[in-house]
Parts: sequence; C-alpha cells; structure tokens
Amino acid sequence: MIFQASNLYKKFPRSRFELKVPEVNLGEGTITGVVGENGNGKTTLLNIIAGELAADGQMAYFGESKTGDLDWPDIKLKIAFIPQRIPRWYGSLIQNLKLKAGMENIEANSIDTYVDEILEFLGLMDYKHLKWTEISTGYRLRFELARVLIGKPNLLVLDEPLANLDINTQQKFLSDLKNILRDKSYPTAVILSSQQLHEIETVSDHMIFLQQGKTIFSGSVNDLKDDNGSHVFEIQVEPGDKERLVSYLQASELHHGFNGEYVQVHMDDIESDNDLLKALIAEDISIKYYRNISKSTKRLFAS
Amino acid sequence: MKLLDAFRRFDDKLLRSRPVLWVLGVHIYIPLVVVISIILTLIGATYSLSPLPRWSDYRDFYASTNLIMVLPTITLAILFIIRQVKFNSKRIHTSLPYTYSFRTFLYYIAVFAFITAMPMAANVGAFLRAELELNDETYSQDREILDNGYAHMYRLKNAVDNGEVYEYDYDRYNDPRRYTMYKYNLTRDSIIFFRSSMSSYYGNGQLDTISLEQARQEIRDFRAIAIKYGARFEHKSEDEIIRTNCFAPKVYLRNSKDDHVAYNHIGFNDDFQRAINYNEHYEVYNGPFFVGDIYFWKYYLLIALGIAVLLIVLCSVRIAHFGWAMLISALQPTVFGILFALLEFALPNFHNDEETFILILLILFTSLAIFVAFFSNFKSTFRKAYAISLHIYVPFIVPMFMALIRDLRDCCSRRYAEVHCECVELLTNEAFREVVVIASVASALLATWVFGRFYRKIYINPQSR
Repeated sequence: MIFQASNLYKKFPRSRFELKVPEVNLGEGTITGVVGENGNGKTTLLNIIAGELAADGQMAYFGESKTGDLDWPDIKLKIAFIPQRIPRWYGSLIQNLKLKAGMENIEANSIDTYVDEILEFLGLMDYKHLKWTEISTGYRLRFELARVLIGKPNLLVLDEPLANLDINTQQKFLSDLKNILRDKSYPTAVILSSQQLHEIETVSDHMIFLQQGKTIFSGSVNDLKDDNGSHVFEIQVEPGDKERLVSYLQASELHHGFNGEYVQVHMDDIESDNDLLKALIAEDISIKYYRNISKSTKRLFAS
Repeated sequence: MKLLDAFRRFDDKLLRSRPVLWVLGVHIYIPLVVVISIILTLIGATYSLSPLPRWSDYRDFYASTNLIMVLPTITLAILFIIRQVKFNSKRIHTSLPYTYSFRTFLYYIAVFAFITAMPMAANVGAFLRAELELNDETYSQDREILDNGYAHMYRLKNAVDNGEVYEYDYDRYNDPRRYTMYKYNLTRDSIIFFRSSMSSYYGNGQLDTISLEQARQEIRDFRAIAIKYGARFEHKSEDEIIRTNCFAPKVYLRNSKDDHVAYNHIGFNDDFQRAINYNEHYEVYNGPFFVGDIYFWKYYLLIALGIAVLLIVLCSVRIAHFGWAMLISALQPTVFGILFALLEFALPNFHNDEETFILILLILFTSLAIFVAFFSNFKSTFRKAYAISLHIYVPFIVPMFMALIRDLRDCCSRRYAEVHCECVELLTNEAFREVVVIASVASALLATWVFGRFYRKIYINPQSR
C-alpha cells in the first residue's frame, strides 16, 4: 500500500471548517479521484496527503507502520505534489527538466535520453526549448508532470489538474496518467481532485466524495451503486418540456430531484438503462441529455 | 560564435553532471569575475611608476576605477542573487538548499567576496607592481644616506623676525638661527651645521660637526642615491656646494621679499620630493595599497558574509516569510531606539548606567525574539519571520553582548574608580576586536548551520508549519 490513513481530522478554527475522513487507502497502480463541491475539503485532503498540511489521525506512507514517526524528508522525496497553481519555471523547459534529472542523480550521459523519453511519452518534444511564458496552461501542467515523473515518485498528488484544460487536453492528460501507472518499474499511486466528474470517474479506480468536510462516499467506483439497487438517471430536456417531464415523473411515481437544469430520477427496478428513455420519447419529450449516473458520484450532488 | 557554442556545450554538460554547481553559476560568475579582475589588475599595474606619481594622483586613479566598477559590481551581484532565487528549490521542488545549504552558503560567501572586491583589482595591480619595483629595505638604506646628506643639498628658509619664530614656534625660546647654521670652521677644517632630515626641515635635527672630508663624502653619497629618485645635479664639485652653503644667508626676515630657499643644489627637486613621498607613504602608511593589508581583507570579508547570510535565508524560506522577517528586522532596532530614548528622557542618571540599560534591552529583545519564534502560539508566519530575523541578527547580537559585557566588566576603564576591581588586561583592545570579529563570523556560520536545519524542519514537516 502506498498510502494509508485513518480518522483524518483537520479543523480550521477561524472558518470553523472541519474535515473528517475515516479512511484513505491508495494502492499501487491505482488512481483515486476526490470530488465534491468547492470549499468542501478536497484541497485540504490532498494537502494533508502530500505532507503540506498537518492533521490529526494515523497516516502511513509506502508500507510503513501507522504508529511510527514519519520521516518527512524521506517521504517527501517520494511524493510529487502538483498544486492548483503551478509555481513558475525560469529558463527553458528542457533546461529545468535536465536540472531536475541531475538533482535526482541520474547519470549525466543518460539524462538526455531519459528526459527525451518522458517528453516523447507526454507528447512534449516540440515544446521543450520554449519558456514558461511561451506555453499554454495545459502544456505547463504536462511539463510539470514531466518534471515530477523524472523523480519517479511513488505518490502523485494532483490538485484540480483538469481545471483550465480544454476537453481534448483533459483526455490526453488522463490518458497520460493511466500510462504512467502501467509502468511497473516503480510502484505509483495517483490521487487527484477535480470537478470533471465524468472524466475523473472514467480513469479512477476509487472515488472519495466530500461534502462540507464529511466523507459521503469512499470506495471503489464499482461500489458506487446504491446498496438497495436503485438506479439514478440524469436528464436534461428542452426548457418548454420541463413541466411535462416533471408531470410525467409525478404521474409515474418516480422519485426525482433537481440539480440546476438537470433532473435526477431514481428507479428501483429497470430491465435496461433505456427503459426510461423509451418512455420519455413515447411521451414526446425533447431530450437534450440523458445519462445513467448510478455508478457516478454525480448522483451524490443532487439537491 | 564558436566560443558561445563551446560555452553552451559546457553549460549543458555542467547542468547534467553537476546541477548544484550549475545553479550556483560557477561557470559564469567565477570566470567573469576573474576576467574582469585580471583586466582591472592589469590596468592598475600599467599605472606608471616612472616618474613616481603623487599620492593624490593615485587616489584620483583609484577613485575613477572604483566609480566605474560600482555599476558592474552591483549588476553582477544582483544577477547572481536572481539566479539563486530563480533556481531555488522552493520554486523548483528539488532538494538543493536542503542537502547543500551549508556548502552553498560557503560558496555564496566566496562569490560575494570576489564580486564586491572586483573594483579593487586595480589597486591590487598597482600594489603588485609597486611590490615588484620598490624595495622597502633598499629604500630604508637609501633614506638614511639621503637624510645624512640632505642638509648639504637643500635648506629652506627659517623665517624669523627679530628673534621671534614666525611659523614654527615649537622652540621659540631657543635661538632660531642655529637651525640655519652651516659654517666652516677654519681652525679645525670642519663643518658645523644643523642636520635636517628630508621629512622635517626644522625639527628632529641637531647641530653637528663633521670633517670637511666627511661632508664631501655625504654630498657624494647623496647625489649617487638621489639620482635613483629623479634628482638631477649640476656639475658642481663638493667644495663648491659647501662654499655656497657657507655663504648663504642664515637668517630670513619675516616680511622679507626674498622668498627663496637658503640653498638648493637638487635639480628636478619636485620630482625628487614626489618620489620620496611616494616611497615614504608606501612604506609607512600603506596608502592606497591597503589591499596589501590582511586586516583590510579580514574586515572586508564581513560584507560578503552579511550578503551571503541574507541570500541563503532568502533561498531557504518562502518569499513572504522573508519579507515579514525583513520588516521585523528593520522595526526591532527602531523600537529599541525609541525605548532607549524614552529611558534616557525618563531617568536622570541614565548616562551613568547607559551600558547596563543597553544590555538589559538587548537581553529583553533577544529573549522576546526567541520566545516568539520557538515557544509562542502566535500565527505561524509571524513565528517564522521572527526566527528568520533572529538568524539575521545573531552575528550582530553576539559581538554586541561581548562588547557590552567587556565594557561593564572592564576594571581598567573609567569605571575603575566606581567598581574598585582589579585591572587585569586579558586582551588588548586590538586583540579584543579580533576576538569579536571571529565570534561574529563563527556565530554567523553556526547560526546558518542551525537555522538551515530549522528551515528544513519547518518547511518539510507539516507538523512544524
């Protein structure tokens, strides 16, 4: 196990915000997504795991015992934390990557090859001679990822890495993460926070959903389905059809809730995901968006 | 272009093989400082010593080179600081200051010492040339011969008016005419004359009687040596010179229009005097050749040490904490000064126990800083800023304590009458200053080592934040 924690507790006296996380387990080769609304403790949790913030509770890194004193200098060498606001680099990007490689005691003769491999892997070869100010936010993030990868970290902590990235870059970045974990030469676990629920759930093995500092859900993505077998669908219809949709749901005695323009419908027994869709089409309701979110933390956002 | 390419290749190689040295810029700053210093040293060395310059010429020359070098020196120092801050670990997530902080610190001292000493390279050049061309020992021997013969070759008027010494009244009760005496004693075939030296026309001499032959010899020796120092002589025989001297007016009146010297047999006397002055300054005062003085460099290194401490702190802590620490460091002496002034105003006998009050205030401020930094529950940023400020002040606080305690315990000083203790001079003032400097340097090094570990702890261990 790369990281284990139990009964994590952090209180900010001034804001009276409390974070309570009963358990966090980050295994080798896994990606854990942390989701929740803004100000609900995602960044706090990641800061605690990255060793940037002190908290009560038991923590253990890289297979060590939870009870012993933590050797932070040693632990921090194995953690790569990419905060929301990436610190600026100076000089050319390749220069910084080589510097990092040199600092990591990689043999001088193989540094060029090693750095180029990482750049190739992340598709950054064409940009390596540019400077920080000459690349977009997405590339900055990927260069930062390249740099932390040079140190072969065992734990990657990424705070909102998808923010400010366009959809294609998001996909590319998440795909990079998956590829990194495939490298079996050193054990790695990834924990990342994001507001992009669908994208993050696609790559994550585990999810943690935080609401006002409390852990609403923590476990495998496959465990997201309600214990009672209920299915949740998220629907968006044309504005003119919203009343008809609500009338239909009430008439059908289907439990439902609202999340902005979206309507979440809970169904206990269905034969297929398309049952409700077929019924709505039959009612001639114009559907803009329809998704089964039974296995998504998104259903936890419902009001 | 080839040179630039070669530099780039070397830069890249160093970056890969010795990243710490690369960040420190050893391949940029050391060669740059060395090249500039060599150029300035050569410029200093080319300053002509023939004829030997006036001392003031030297001062002007050094003032010019130092002034020219002010901007390049400051620029180079700032560029060095920027590089250290840019590639600092707090910004690039490497272990640089944590692992290498103390070695890095020593390197900073060396670089700042070289950079700030750069303007004085011209002085070094001139000093080296003078060292090569001038010989203290030879000059001392020459000077003795010149002093012996000087009274035969040059005599300034000794202005007196009716027996009253005009300008130089140090010996107004003696007959001033004796200072102008140069008389041939026919019966003994000897010369009775007032000996003067080159640096003192009027004083330190005495009436002397020498044989005519000895007078001739002194004149011969003087001429032989004086030529080395730029003097030229007419083809006068020794006897002609002696004769002229004996018939020269011996007493000059106060308001006499006759403003000439009594006698002067030295041609190019100005050049000669300048050369003698040059050697005199070089030997006795060291003059602009202070760069050859080890004491100068010992104290000069303190500047480099001070800047290095600031830079290593800047590289080891967060910029915001450093900023707060600078504010606290600036405010503390201000508050100290205000309290001091208030005490002076409020207590009538303040001056009698000034040192005691300073010591009490110093202990109070130091204790407060230690408490806030390490034992208080104040906001984390505030505590860190106090700790950083303490780090910066340690090299100043230690000597202050030493000086105050010595002053209070000094039974040999003016307090002796009050404290009635036995005067035991353990250290001379000079030795004490040496000890204080050593203690200051040692405390700076020790503080940097200790605080380096402290910064590492507070920035790495989340429990210490």
